[in-house]
Parts: sequence; C-alpha cells; structure tokens
Amino acid sequence: MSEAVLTLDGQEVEKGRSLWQDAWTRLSKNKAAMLGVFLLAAFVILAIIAPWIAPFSYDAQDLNIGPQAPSSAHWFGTDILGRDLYTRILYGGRISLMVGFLATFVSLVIGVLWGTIAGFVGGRTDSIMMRIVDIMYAIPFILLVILLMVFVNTRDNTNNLLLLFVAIGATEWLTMARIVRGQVMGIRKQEFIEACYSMGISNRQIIFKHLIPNVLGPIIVYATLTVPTVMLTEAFLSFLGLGVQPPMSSWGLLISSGVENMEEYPWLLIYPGLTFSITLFSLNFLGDGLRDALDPKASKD
Amino acid sequence: MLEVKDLKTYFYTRNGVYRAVEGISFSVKRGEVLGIVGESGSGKSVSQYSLLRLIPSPPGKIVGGTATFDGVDLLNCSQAELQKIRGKKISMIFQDPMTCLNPYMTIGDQIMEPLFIHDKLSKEEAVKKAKNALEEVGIQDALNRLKSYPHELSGGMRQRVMIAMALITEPELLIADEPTTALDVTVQAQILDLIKALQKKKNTGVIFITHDLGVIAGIADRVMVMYAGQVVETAPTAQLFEKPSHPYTRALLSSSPALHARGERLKTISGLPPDLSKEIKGCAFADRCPERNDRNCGSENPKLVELYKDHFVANCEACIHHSPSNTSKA
Amino acid sequence: MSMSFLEVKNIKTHFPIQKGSFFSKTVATVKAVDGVSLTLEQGEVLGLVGESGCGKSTLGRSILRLIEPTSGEIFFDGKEISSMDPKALRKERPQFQMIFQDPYASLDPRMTVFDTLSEPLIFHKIVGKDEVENEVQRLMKMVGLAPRFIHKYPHEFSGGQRQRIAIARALALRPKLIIADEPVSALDVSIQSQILNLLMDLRNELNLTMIFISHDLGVVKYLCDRVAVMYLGKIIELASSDELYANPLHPYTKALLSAIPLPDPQAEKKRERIILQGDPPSPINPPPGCSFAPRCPKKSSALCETKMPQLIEIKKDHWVTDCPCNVPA
Repeated sequence: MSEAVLTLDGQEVEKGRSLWQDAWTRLSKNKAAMLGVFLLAAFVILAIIAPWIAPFSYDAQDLNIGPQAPSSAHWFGTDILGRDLYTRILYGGRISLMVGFLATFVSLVIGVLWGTIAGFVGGRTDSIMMRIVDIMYAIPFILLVILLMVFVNTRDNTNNLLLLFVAIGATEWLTMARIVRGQVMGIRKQEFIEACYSMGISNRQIIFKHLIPNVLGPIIVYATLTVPTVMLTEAFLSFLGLGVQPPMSSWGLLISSGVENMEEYPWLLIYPGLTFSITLFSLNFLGDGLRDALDPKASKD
Repeated sequence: MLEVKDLKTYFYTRNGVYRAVEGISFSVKRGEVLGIVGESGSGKSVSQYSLLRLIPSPPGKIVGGTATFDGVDLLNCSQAELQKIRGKKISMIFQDPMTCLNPYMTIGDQIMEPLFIHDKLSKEEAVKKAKNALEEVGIQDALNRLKSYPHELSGGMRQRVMIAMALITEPELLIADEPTTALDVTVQAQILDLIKALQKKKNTGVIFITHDLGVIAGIADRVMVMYAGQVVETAPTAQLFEKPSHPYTRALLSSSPALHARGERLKTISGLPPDLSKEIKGCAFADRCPERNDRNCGSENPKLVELYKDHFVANCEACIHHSPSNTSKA
Repeated sequence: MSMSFLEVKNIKTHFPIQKGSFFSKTVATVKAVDGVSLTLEQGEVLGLVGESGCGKSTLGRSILRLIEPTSGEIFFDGKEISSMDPKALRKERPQFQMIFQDPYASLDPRMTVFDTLSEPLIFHKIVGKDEVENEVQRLMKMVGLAPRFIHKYPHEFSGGQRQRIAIARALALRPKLIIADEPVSALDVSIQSQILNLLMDLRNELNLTMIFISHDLGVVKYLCDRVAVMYLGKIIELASSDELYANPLHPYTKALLSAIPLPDPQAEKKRERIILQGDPPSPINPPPGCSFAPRCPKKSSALCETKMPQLIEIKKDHWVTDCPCNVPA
C-alpha cells in the first residue's frame, strides 16, 4: 500500500494513495472505458485541428460533381452540392462536440451552485429552490428550446450557437441540481463535517474544501453522461431545422440530410451516423467506467 | 453432533488471497453451548457462515475441510440436502436485527415462512405455532403482533422475533452471530437470559459468536478463542478463565477495563492484527506476543495440543512452559 | 461561591416533529435532553452513561452548541456560551473540542493527515505558517502516530489509527475541555485499551477536562472521576465513580450495573441480575411523572406516575432523584 518515499527533514516519509489515484487505477483496468477515452480524445483532437487537416473547405461546392460515392479524392464521398463529406464531418464534429461539452459545462455550473446552496442551507430555502426545479421540470423542455430558438432566431451563426448552448444548458441543469442537492445533504450529515463546525471552520471553507470535493464523484459521472444527451438534443434540433443553419454543418444536420437521401446515396447517412454513434458509445462507456471507478463502496475492499 | 475438521475458507480478491479461515477444527455436542471469541478479522463469523455455505462465492471459496452434522458433510453435500438442513436442523441468528428482517413482510409471514417450507403446515397450524413462538420469546399480545412490520418494533423486540424465527422449526443447532452486540446492555441481559432459557428447555446446541468475554462467561459451556483465522485455545469456560494458557487469551483477559483499578494503565496488546492476504510464516501471533521467546515462533505454526483435560492450546513455548500452572500468576 | 469551570444550567434540547413539507406543523416533540444541569471542575473527567435514547450524545453536542439547545445556559470558564452570537462563538470554539464515535466517518476521506491536522492550525492561526509542519508532526507523535505517515489518507489506516488522528485533531487547537462521544465503541477490544491508555496519558499530561460519553460502564468506571447516569433526557443519578459502583441508589442504575457481563464465570453464575421489563423508551412525548416508572421494579406509589422527581443530594456528592424508593423515609 505504501508508495515511493519522499523526505521530510531528513526523515523518510511514505507517500499516500488518494482515492482519486485508486479510482484512476480502477478506471484504467476497464477496457471499454479506456477505449472510450482513446476514441473520444482522437475525435476531439481531429475536431480541433480540422481547419488544418481538412482537404477542402466545408462550404466549397462543386455542382459539377454532385453526390459521389467515396473515392480516393473524397474519402467519404460528397453530398448533393458536391461538398466533401469528410470535411463536413470534421467541421460538424467541431460544432457537435463544442455544443456537447459547453452546454454540459453551463448546466454543471448552474446545477452545482443551485444544488449546493439548496442542500447546504436546507429548510425553507431548500423547499423553495427545489419546488422551482420541480416546476421547471414540468415544462416540456423541447417546447421551451424550440420557442427560444424560434423567437430569438438570427441569421448570425455565432449568436445562434450561443443561443443553442444557453438553451440546452439551461434545461439540463435541473437534474444536476437534484443530484448535487442529494449528495450534499448526504455528506452534510457526516461526522467530519460536524467536526469542522466544532473547530469553528467557516461555512465557506466547509463548502469549498470539504463538501464539493466529496460530491465531485457523482457529478463527474453525471456530467460525462450528460454530454451525449446534449449532443443528441442538438442533433434533434438541427434535424428539425432549428439548430445550426447551413452552410455550417453539425452531425445532426448531416444525419438529417443523409436520411433524406438514404436510398440513393447511402454514404451520406452512414458516415455521419457512424461517427456520431461511436462518439456516443465512447462517452457512455467512459461514463459507466467512471461510475464504477468512483463508487465509494468499491474503494473499501 | 457437529464435527468440523480442518476448515479452510479463502477470499480471492484483487489484492491477493485473503486467508480468512486457515484450518480450524472443533465439535459441538447435543445441547452444548460453544462460545467463539475473537476480534474482527479473526475468522469467527466467516467460519460459521462457511458451515452453511453462506459465503458469497466469488470472491470466497471453501477451500478445504469437512463439517459432519448428523452424518451429512455440510461442505460437500448437494444443494438439495443443504436446503433441508438450513432453517430446519441448523438455524442462524444475526447481529443486526434491523437489516436482517425483510421490511416489506409482516413478522408473522416471516416467522411462518420456514414452517411452510420445511414442515409443510397448513395456515391455521402455522399461525398457532407462530403465536406460541412469539409468546415463548416474551412478546406480549402475540396474535396481533404477527401483523406488525419490522420497523414498528424496537431493536430488542426485533431480535426476539429473529430468535423466534430461528427456533420455530425446533432446530438441533443454533448459530448466533453476535446477537447482542448491537443492543443496549439491559436489553442484552434480557436476550441472553432468553437464549439460555430456551436452549435449556429445548436442548438445542448453540454456537455463540462474540467478542465480549463477559458475555461468553455467562452463556458458554466451552470456549474457542480465534485469532487470524486459527484456533489458538479451546477449553471449558471455567477452565479458560482460570487457566488461560495462550498469550493472546491472557492478553485479552487482562486488557479488560473491568479488571483494572481506576487510573491504572491498561495492559494492551501492541501492534495490529496481521494482514491475512499475506502468507504468515510461523505463529500468527508472534509479532505481538508479549511472551515471545523466539525459539520456534517464526518458523512453524504451532499445532493444538491437549494441555489439560479437554483444554487445547497451541503448542508453543509461551503456552506450555509459561502457563500459570507452571509459573507464578502474572 | 466561585463558578465552576463548566456550568450547565437546565439545558433542554427538543426537536419538533413536523408534518408537511412546505407549510409544516409540529405534531410531536422529541425531548432528547429534558432539563440537565451539571458542573465540572478543571481537570475533572465526568462520565455520561445511558442507553440509546437517553440523550447523552445530544447533551454532549448541546453543550458545544453543535446542536442548539432549546433553552438553558452554558457557562465555560466564566463566559456565557449559550447566548453568544455565531461569530463570537466561532472564536471561542478552539477551547472546547469533540472526539467523535466513528473513526471512519469523522475524517474527510479526501484529505491527508497533514491536511486534516493543519486545517485548524491554519484557520485559527495557532502557529505561524512556517511552523505548521513541525506542529503537525508534534501532534502525531503525541498520539502515537509515526510522522512518516503524514501524507497518507484515512482509508490507508486502521480504525484505531484513525481514531488517533481524530484525537490529534481535537488537540490541535489546544482545548481546555474535550467531550469524547463513545470514542472507543467502534474499535476492537485490544485496540480499545490502547486508545484508553492514550486518553488517560493525555489527560494527565495536558490537565484536560473531559466529558466521556459511553454506554460501556466498565470503561467509564475505569476512566472517570464522577459519573452521571442518564435516562430519557434527564440525569437520574450522579456520584463519584467509586461511590456509584459501590452504592447505586436508583433502581435503573442498579439494573444497569447488574446487566454488565463480567469476564468471570463463577461471578456470572452467582450474580443476581435485575432484569428490566420492556425496552428503553422513546423520547417522543415521555410519560408524565417519573419517566422510569413503567419499567421500575420498585414502583410503589401512584406518586411515581404523577410527580416529576428532582435531583437531590442524598449524601455528600451523591445525587439521585427524590422518589420514595431511593429516599429512605
């Protein structure tokens, strides 16, 4: 159990193994999860360097070629307007992944703050805060997002994207808030928190140094599993025509046009579909792996 | 009635093979109360769960030994034969009465369950028997109580219900795993009295597991002391307390605060129990033994020998030559 | 008369049971601590014994205001603690600390020994920043932990070692009063004696004042100067340790003492046990009059059920409730 040796005024000191290290060891033994990590990392890197490696520009049309099956010039083929599918998938990945991670991040921040305050303060504040969450849960989310997108729709793609982040993030935080609140309430009753009170430690320090690090586990798991949900939502919205607008592409848009032309030009659906599915699988495997790795019960054996 | 020889139970974990029970042998006569004393990690609970094959099977495995009960080898018999014995001939009561009763069933249903399975009684007969069983364990208003749920009862009452459940099929052997540890001391006294009375009345054999020497002194006919998965000493109760021969037994007895004057420093056992996932060479207690004299302690694991009549102890220098009958009492 | 080091006057801690989540209504009250007064001199060790539901843990926490008492006063070293505002109270907290029962739950699993012990030192500026590491090592040595474990995490230690860390943390703020809530109950017997020796040594070295809460009467007799027996939120007997065990007066105390199993088979056979009927009661809406009456083997008059007994000093320094059974006519 003891690891490498450091020194402390000339004496030898044993290094400890934190619970995070234990969790990482467990995670690294989970083959599916590590595969997920690898694939995800690969896709993210590709998405980031897309502008440098894409053979064509994403909106370069070539109406003479039209839709073409995959060839050595166009690895994934071309779409109706002659645009290179491989390039569009790369650029589409940038949008989809960005929306996925950023919207999740937004929901994380709001959810953690809301849940921590509700769970820590308790009492009437907690009741009010959670009733608000309950009410918002009752509103059909898709309707909300659609309304938002329709009423604030602009031709400007950047604003559109921003709106997309905000709209999706603002609806995903609800479950995060509930999870965080439950975790916080559980930890708050533990004796080590009581010990902090008895030492006169301030509430602020208790929340940031003790509470949040101990609820981080489930939060990370849930966040990892929120990303695919968000990406699917974006895909759905784009499918409906409410998300990203052409000539910009996202995996959702690509799948949508792929479906339209499924019978004649199947590659238009297969490649974006495959890419999207692999990403979702990777995230899910990773999320499952994290859940097992961070399970406190598992760390006791 | 029950004869266990060389029982070995190991747990195969990620961190290595955990040798929970490393070759123990003991026997229980009809109507006898055998007390098993040890601390956590001594293997006392695991050994008894092994008898009824209640060890979770990965990661645990009964690696060796036999346990003959009325002619049947419990460790190697078929599942069908085991089912007939469990709950009917051998019953068990557990430590935490709160988690051992099904919260979704009334206690009546739970008490009658073994009757339907083993004795195949009709509903009326079962209800009558259940009512009698509750009255026997001292629960008033038994007929109505049958309809209560576990959460409506106190800890002491739940433990009584468990005892009723265990004794309702008139088993020949009762295994009690720390049944009073989670209870208040006055309730503990009630439950111990109850177990003693029922045991005498029905002549049931009892294996009573505990870490509390005081409880053992009051209830057991014979005592078996376990340490690190092995038996270190076994003797009739009075004999064990009068002539404790193994250094661990002596240390346990002498570290009880009840036997010290106020302000006197307690005798302790230094160090920690050994890590059972590592193979132990020689005597498992050697590192902590206050009477160690290094002759053979590190090389061979001392076997049990009969020091006095019916009193077995590990065959090491400390036990045999430094036992109270040979030297002046410490 | 000068004030004692710790004076607790008529503390009551009641918890309302509420129905309804938003507009809640109190339907019953759990009277966990129902009027307890005691005094403690500096350097004394007071034992608080009782069974589950008696309120001893709640009393310990109420004295430290970890749970706010519903009414009553607490005076510590001359200062009134009970009505201090939270900010001022926080400054006083270093002087009275608690050791908790469960060594697994009372340490933050994500912090090393160094983090755990240095936190109070840094927060209350007990020593300068450059002295913190030395001070942590000193604390570790004081409780018998090898300093080379300073960067290890709680799950890498055994129960007994974790409890030592918890004790070191309690001592970090150099308190004058320590309340120990069943500090050895969750430990193995052979480890218990190690920790009890440690507590005794520390008490002697540092002249600590302690309140030792336990259900284990053997341990309490060994460690404490005076012992208070609690039942259903009240103290029913209070005397010096030797006196209580030699001459218990209250029937509950007698039953409690007779129920302790002794590691001596001859004594066990001979002893006459007083077995109480029924179970320890719940502190929700206790019966009027003497709360012990329903189980009292010596219940004599109807008075037991109506009159609330008071603690009186029946002999020098031996207090007991004034019911007819205890007080000879």
